[in-house]
Parts: sequence; C-alpha cells; structure tokens
Amino acid sequence: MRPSAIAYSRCRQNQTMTSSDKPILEPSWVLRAVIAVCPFIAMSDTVIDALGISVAMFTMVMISTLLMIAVIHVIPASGRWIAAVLITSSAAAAVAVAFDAWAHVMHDRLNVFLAMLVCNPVLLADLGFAPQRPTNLLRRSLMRALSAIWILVGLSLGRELVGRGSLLHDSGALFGDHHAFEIAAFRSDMGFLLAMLAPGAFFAIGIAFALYQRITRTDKE
Amino acid sequence: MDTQANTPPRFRLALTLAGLAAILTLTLAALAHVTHERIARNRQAWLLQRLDALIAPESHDNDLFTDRIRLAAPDLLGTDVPAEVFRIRKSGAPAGVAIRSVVPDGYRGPIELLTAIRYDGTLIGVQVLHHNETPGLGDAFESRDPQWLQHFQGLSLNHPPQQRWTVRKEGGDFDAFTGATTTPRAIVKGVRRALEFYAAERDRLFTLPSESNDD
Repeated sequence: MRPSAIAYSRCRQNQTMTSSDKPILEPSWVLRAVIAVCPFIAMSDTVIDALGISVAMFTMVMISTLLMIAVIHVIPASGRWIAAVLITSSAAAAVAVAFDAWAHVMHDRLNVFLAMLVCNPVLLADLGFAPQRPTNLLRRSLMRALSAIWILVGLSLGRELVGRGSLLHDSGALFGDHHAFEIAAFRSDMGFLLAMLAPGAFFAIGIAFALYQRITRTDKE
Repeated sequence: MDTQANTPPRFRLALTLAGLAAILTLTLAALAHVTHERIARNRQAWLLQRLDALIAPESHDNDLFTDRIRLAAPDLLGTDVPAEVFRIRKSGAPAGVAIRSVVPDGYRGPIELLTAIRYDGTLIGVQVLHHNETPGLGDAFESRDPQWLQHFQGLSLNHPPQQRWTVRKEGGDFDAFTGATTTPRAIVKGVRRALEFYAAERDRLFTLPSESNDD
C-alpha cells in the first residue's frame, strides 16, 4: 500500500463518523437490485418489455446457478471464475435461442440486452466464488434475481402509466397476438413523455429511492 | 485457501474446463438444431404477417413469400446484401411489389423498411420492420403517432415533387416527430429511394425467376 493510502486509511479510522459521512443508502438488497437492473433500464419503458427481460434474467440466473451447483465439486476453486463465465455465457445464449424459437417478437425487442445478461456482476458474482453449500447459492441467486425483477417491473409500471397512460401495451409480443390485451387509463399522446425516455427511468429510480427511504425511516421511528 | 501442495496441476484444470466448454457447446448446438426449423417458421410467419398488413389479400392470388427475388442495389436499397423483393400478382399479371430495404442513416442506426408499391408506381403502404430509434422520441411512428406511416399511401415519385420529399421544417410535405427530426427524414428518404429503385427496375423485377424458399 502506498504511504498516502496508509495515511488516508489511518485518518479515516481516527475520525468519528458523522451523519454526513454515512452513505445515503446502506448496501441493502434494494441497492444491489437497483445496480443489477441498471444495465436493463432501457427495458423498463413498458411493463411487457420489463416482463420480457425479467423472464430472460430469471431463467438465465437459475440455469447458471443449477449448472454451477452441478459442477461445483469438479472444478477447483482457482478455475471457478472461468467456469462461471463459460456457464453464464452458455445460459444466456440458450435463453436467446429459446426466445427466438418461442417468443420471436420479444427476442427482437430484447436484442442486445439478452447478451448483456452475461455481464451482470451483481446477479452473477456469487457463481465465481461458489460456496460449498448448494442450497445457499441457490437461495442467494433466487433472491437476487427476484429482487431485481421486482425493481424492474415496479419501475415499468410507473413509467408506462405516467408516460403513455397504459399498462401491458403491446402484450402480444410476450403472450402472442391471440392473448394480447392492454389496460388504457388515458390517451397515449397525453402521457408525460419524459417518463418514457431514458432519463425518465433514472428519475423514477430517484423517486423510488426517496419513497423507500421515507418508508424505512418511518418504520424505524 | 489453496496451498501449493493441494493446488491441482494446471493441465488438469485446463482439461476440466475444456471438457465443460465442450459439453456446453454440444448442448447449445443441440438446442440450436432442435429449434432451427421453428425459428425459421417464426421469421417467415412474422414477415408474412407484415406483408398481409400492407397488401390486401384480395389484391393478389400468388404466394408472396415464394414469389420473391433478391436484388443488390446498395445505393438505393441501403444494403450490400441483396434485398428481398416480394412480387404481387393477380391472375398472372404483375400488380406490384413489396421491397425490403434498409435506411442506413437513422438516428441510432439502420432502419429496415418494407415498402409496398402498386404496378403503376404509387405507394400501397410502408412498414418499419426493425429499428433502434430512441424510445419515446424516434419511435413515434409506432407509439405516439401510429398514423404517420399511413401518410405515404397513394404517393409516388412525382407526387409530391422530389424537393418536397422531406420533413416540413426543410420545406417538405412530411411532419416530423416532437423532438425527433432525423428519424422521419431518414424514413422519407428510404421510401423515396425504394420508389426510385422500382421505377428503374420495374420491367426486370417481374421477369426474373423466383428464388427457392431456403430460409
């Protein structure tokens, strides 16, 4: 460690933590889930897009986890990261092929985001350092995927409703044209356009953070 | 933590990982093989759905999907790959074409168009097959203003005149979208080029033999 870094570290240890030093958000499951969702934020403009990437994300994380559990005792610790990369990229490719075969329209809409599933360190980091107890790994992967999906779908509900006054717009892309339906609250041209744009997604995250803080603080009080 | 004594030899680790990679590759190849036909059917059905949405069933009696050719015209159709042209025939007589072209200068990349043209050179309609335009702005033709593409119906190379084949703010006849001018301008240009291609190649389009249905 460099001398300046050591001095900084000692200085930090000697300081009493004030309220301004505290992180705005503790590294809770919410923060982790939001970071996991960030690469897919563009897919939260409609509920159907969010559900599409959520199904892909959940399937890919579960396949990767189960495969990792299957080979965990065969791969030495030093090779686990490489095994995790092989497994997650194969799982993402399998999910992409499955979408192309059974949900072609959604496959085209998810496009590059299917490949981006591979490089999500928050969802997949555990696989590289896989613990010996498979149930722990499975539980953690499940919780991380579900919490990311919860955030993504929650965001999309707010964005679609505010942005275009509807829910489940273009649901035929996921459920097929015969089962397509849409809930319309008001005309789409009366929607708040910013909610549909990429910056709107980050505003929505900010509002969600504020609400979360408000609720958790109220609970503590 | 691993010690020097219990660290496995590198070649054994490499062998194990190579074995894992081989198993995963074979599994993926098997999945691709099993789904290959279904994916091809999906793509065909998807394209047919779009062709049917543009071209009324009573206006033709041939199979649009099999009566197609591919022609290379990079300058007008925007792609080096030969573009698909679906021929519309009624009682054996040519009734028009649907041209699958690419507009390379969309705001966020190429825009793929399907332009249906009557035999006399007037537009039946236009569909956007693929695009990466900005959600909420550049994709207004499919969300905020789905009627916009219908403005092309009935237009031709001379109606409106060439200088008015652009958006209104540049003296043209076509509305731009709120906050997005590049996308509508690119689509208008792409449709105009498809019409120019048709005008230049019309006689040849209906005499070339159909290609085999191999995808």
